[in-house]
Amino acid sequence: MKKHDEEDQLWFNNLMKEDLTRFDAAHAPEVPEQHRFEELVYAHVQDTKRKLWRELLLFWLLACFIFGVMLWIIDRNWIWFAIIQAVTTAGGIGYASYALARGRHREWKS
Amino acid sequence: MEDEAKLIKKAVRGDMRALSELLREHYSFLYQYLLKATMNKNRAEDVTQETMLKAIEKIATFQGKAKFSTWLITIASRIVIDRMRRNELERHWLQEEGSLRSIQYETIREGVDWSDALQALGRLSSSIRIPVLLKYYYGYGQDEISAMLDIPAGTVKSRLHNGLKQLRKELTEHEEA
Repeated sequence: MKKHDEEDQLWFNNLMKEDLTRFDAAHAPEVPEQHRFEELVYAHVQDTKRKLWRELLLFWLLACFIFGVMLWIIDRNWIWFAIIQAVTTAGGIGYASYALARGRHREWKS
Repeated sequence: MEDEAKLIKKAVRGDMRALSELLREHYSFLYQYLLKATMNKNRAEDVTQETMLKAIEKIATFQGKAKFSTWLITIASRIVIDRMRRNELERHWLQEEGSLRSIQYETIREGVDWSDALQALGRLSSSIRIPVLLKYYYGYGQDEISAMLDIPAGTVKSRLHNGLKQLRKELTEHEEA
């Protein structure tokens, strides 16, 4: 098997590698100045921060709304409150285990 | 110029200057990889930009177990594959042929022959071309490619096998013609 791999590599080196190296050299891009990269990094970090704050605000607004609805349901009917809590807990556990399994599968050591 | 390991440490801690230096150092490498992976200049430029933005967002999660260049190639390859799945551009044969002709023209304009080898590589689909390049041009192992592209090792093996088979077939046909 290893010998087969080596043969494939040798074939590639003989027939393709040199052409690809020349292709790389022909398409060497013009690298922008350092300050352009600094501007890009700074602007994107700021954008990401703004987006995170917006999402956090949305999260709190939604959380307050759900909390308010739950208090209203407790006040009106205890049984319905228990049913909703049981259903959302089961859904949460199901989703968390699915996400965990998917996350474990995609794990890659960077 | 600071040593790469030091720059990575600083960048992971949030030093934007260090991160921009790292990105600048790897810019050519990343673009050239993407040009070979996509065989399309516009797409390579787009994905280079998107990869750098993703790297800026995710730098805090970089653990330093792999080389920085490997990390960038992984992000870039996954973006190419995701775009391919989303847009299914790869299936539009005419468009692919058009972009191949365009990169062929650009290459010749730079004074480099458009060889049969490049033509054969360009005719592979990106899903096959990427593992072939990673294995035989960049020297990554099958397991590394499997982790980088998030596909099973068996799939990598079969894509490599099919890729080389197709390349050999095309090059033999050209020789015979």
